[in-house]
Amino acid sequence: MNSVNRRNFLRLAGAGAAAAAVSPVLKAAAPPLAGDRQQSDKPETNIKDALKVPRSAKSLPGLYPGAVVIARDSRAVQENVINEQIAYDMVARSMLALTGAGKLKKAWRKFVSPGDRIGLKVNPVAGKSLTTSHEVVKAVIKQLEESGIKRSQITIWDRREFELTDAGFTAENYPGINIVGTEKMDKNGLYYDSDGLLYGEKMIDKEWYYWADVEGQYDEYTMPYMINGGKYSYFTRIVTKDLDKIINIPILKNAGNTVTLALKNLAYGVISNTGRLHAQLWSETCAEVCAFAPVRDKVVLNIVDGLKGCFNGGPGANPQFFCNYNVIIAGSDPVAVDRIGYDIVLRKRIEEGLQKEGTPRALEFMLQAERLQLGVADIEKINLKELNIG
Amino acid sequence: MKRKTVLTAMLFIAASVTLPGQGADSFPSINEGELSSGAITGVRQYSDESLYGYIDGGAELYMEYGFDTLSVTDIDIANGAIKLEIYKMSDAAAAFGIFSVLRFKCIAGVEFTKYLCRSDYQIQFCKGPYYVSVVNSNATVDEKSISEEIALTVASKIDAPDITFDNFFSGGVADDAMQSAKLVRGRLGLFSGAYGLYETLEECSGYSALIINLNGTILISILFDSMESLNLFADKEKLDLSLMAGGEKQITASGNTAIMTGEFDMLLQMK
Repeated sequence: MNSVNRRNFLRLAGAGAAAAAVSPVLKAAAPPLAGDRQQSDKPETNIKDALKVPRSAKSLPGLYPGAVVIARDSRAVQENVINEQIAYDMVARSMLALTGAGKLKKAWRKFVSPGDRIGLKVNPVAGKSLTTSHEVVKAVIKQLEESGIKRSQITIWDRREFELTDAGFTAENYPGINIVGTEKMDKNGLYYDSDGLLYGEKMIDKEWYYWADVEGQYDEYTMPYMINGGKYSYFTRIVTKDLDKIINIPILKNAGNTVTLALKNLAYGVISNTGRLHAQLWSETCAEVCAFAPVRDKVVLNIVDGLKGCFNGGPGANPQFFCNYNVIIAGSDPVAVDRIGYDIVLRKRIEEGLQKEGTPRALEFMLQAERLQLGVADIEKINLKELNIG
Repeated sequence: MKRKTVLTAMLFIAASVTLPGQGADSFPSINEGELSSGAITGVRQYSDESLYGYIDGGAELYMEYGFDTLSVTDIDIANGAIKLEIYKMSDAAAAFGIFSVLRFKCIAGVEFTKYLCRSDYQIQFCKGPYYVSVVNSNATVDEKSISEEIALTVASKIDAPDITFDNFFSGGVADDAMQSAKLVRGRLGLFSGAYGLYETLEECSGYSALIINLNGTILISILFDSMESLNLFADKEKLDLSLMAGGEKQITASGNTAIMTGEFDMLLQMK
């Protein structure tokens, strides 16, 4: 044992002796950006194969690269209740500002047409206390209907059907709207059919996959949430087969020191076998999965529900960190939308004393997405329109 | 037989809920008969990686600390709902660690256990290897009252001594310093509750670090679990472990003061 133990050290520290010995500050160098595989030991993925599929005019970042609208209204949430009319107005004003259209119908019709099968990608994973709100989803549906889209053409979807149900995305609350998830259970609470096959397995499309050199290994209790193990993550048929256009509606949340917004909501929402991807390839997954054609060419709009949200403890629901941001963020460019959303969450974290400044690492996935031509991550190049409604 | 429970098989309505292993090594739970009002509508349990099935990416934080089993109980009450989450962590330090980074702006109340935090919508506490969260939906007086009742009942069923921190600081740490202490074991803990130390510990793994504020001085006691982990930290911080083993105090590359306090243990005073 050393001659100086903890107790002695504490005494020294208390007397300020140790403090006096502190050397000049050595500023830590900015860390290399993950995803630049020439500078890192990140596992390989099949992103190069994804990029071989030619881009089209419909590919992300869509109609308005680098353009983002923030609508603010401090009256949006009162006593923890969202005002449905204000939510509707915030979405509507955002759409008009984003498109420059004079009428709401024209604004929406820039993105969708009556013949389209349209998916609304929500985020109910944290449960009903921290889900994409019904007020915003209903506002979007109402405006789609007002733009000539039939309810039968609209699907609310996410990865886990039972989480949709728990959060209130049910046929009862959304009559005429399709509601579907990739991972399913039956009325008896079972994940397997009578042949012993996972219901979720029928929902994946093995022609489309994100391969990464990380093995997913799950026990029998985890498998229903992952559908498959191994090195392949398959895309859901909801995206590859069942939808023509996707409107992405995440909720404004932190994920550690960064955010889980448009890109994360898409990336981790469209593939199986995600458990293996969190630890080593979180940023890569957020960016690269969105570069696969079924996502890249079908997502037309991102509307971040920032009426309620959280600034810490995310992506899970920890009420002590909930807050009312009272904002809607809209854009066709998911990278630019995420970059603006990140600043909002960061400001709140600084305000609450959780950190003093941002860090380059928090922007990694956005920078990677920018390199994949999915949008604009450079804050200086983003055309931000701010609407202060009330 | 594995101590794991099929999640959906446990979805039921019952007057009394008994979780696996109840007995000498019992998993704490609440029975409907113990509620003054409300009804248990479902109990689910998640073990190991099946936690992804409950909170997806949020599971990573718990796994970083060392996660064993989660029991979730849904309780319906008049005009509201309460969710009871009981996380059994790998050890008491892991439970305290989760508690320490998730507590925030605690408000006063009856202190039925040592490490306890209330906010309008939540009661959190840790006791033994358990981290417990009781969340209500509307913060009404009734909901808060029933939440207190539930938390108190669960705490009374956990037969574990209060965690001590003698292995981090010989002689322990004063209670008031522990009220703001953070215990981290990796990057996600740093992000959640000790962001200022991110640069110091970001590249480290295989450690437990207790961070305390002692009269304005930030002290970190780091227990590395292997020489490899210690060497990684020492290399990054340009520390000469052979000199430190003789009791020499050194300044880290980040400008903090460091001293060895055990074979794999180090104490830092932040600049």
